[in-house]
Amino acid sequence: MDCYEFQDKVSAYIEKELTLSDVNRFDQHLESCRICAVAYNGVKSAIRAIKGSERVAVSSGFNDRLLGKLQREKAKPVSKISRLGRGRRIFGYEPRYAFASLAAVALIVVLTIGILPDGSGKINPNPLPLSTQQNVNDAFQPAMRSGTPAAPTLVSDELEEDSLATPKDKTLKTPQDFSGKIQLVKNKKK
Amino acid sequence: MPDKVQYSDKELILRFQQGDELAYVELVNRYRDRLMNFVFRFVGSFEEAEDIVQDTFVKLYQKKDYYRPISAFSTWIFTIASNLAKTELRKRKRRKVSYLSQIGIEEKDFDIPVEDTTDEETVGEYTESQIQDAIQSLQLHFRTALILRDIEELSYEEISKILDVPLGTIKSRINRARLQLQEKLKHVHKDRRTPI
Repeated sequence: MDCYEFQDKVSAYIEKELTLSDVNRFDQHLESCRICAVAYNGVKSAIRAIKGSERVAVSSGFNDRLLGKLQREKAKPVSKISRLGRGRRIFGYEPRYAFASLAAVALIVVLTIGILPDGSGKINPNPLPLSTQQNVNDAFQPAMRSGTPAAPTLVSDELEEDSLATPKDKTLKTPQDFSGKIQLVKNKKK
Repeated sequence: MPDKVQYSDKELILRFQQGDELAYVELVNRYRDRLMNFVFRFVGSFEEAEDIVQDTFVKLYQKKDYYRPISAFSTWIFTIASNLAKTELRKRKRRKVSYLSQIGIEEKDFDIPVEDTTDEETVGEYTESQIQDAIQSLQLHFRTALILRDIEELSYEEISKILDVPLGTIKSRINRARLQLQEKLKHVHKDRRTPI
């Protein structure tokens, strides 16, 4: 046994947890190494000292002060969720975590429905409100029918203008409105 | 005189869970001094230790339903006290850092008051304050394990559960804590022998 192993096993030796063969090796090292013998005696003396040290006790009136503290704690307002969850668990979780998880799930569901309005199972790449999408489609229709490619700037300009308009101006535009404007731009280009 | 009926800790906490507040008082009386001794060795201040012990019992009152009889009550209550004590030490550390950052560099030069230990009670070769100082100077994880083992005399298994650390690690920590403690106390001896 070397000094490192000896020091690793000091507590196990003192608490009689070593095997007999280890005890023999430990004893041999203890007799032959003066430094380890000093450390061993030091550990034993330190354990004796802390075991024999004075025990501290609470001061008088401890229970009365505790009672006062408990009454103050009881008087504190408790949130509805905490009150509901006192000592109970929902799905195995503390109520606040259970409610937070439910809220998160609900948020995800709401967002998912917002993204998939037609329920086709495909992700809609353009998550604009339904009415706006309808207007855009309607605006494209006449141009596509006439065979002339629609100028993308026109529609986007129109949308930007629309989105910046005051709530009063944000009324639904009929397909005729858009087709009229497209015609106007076509004439200007000519 | 007839023998009084003695309830076990588990029976008391189960009674308290059913609404018997006298069972709570009995648990407080049974554990207040043990917890006080443990927490005082841990934080080193009597007032703070007493506050922590009170908070432990407030937690016991509020969270009584969280106790499950699969583990010993003592393990559970020591876990609460130990966690509260650790939180207090963390708070203290933050306070110390902010205080030192508030004062100027010149003001940081101060003399450490020398305690007069002439009237102090001695435990074998050492005084109480020497032992307490030596314990306080240990790192937190060594200190906790050592106090629970050598002062509170809990089993290695209980300490492992309280600190939520594997059994082997606990044994190793306690061994290293003892070696460090004897080193520190050895210096106390040397200092005592040094002529003034």
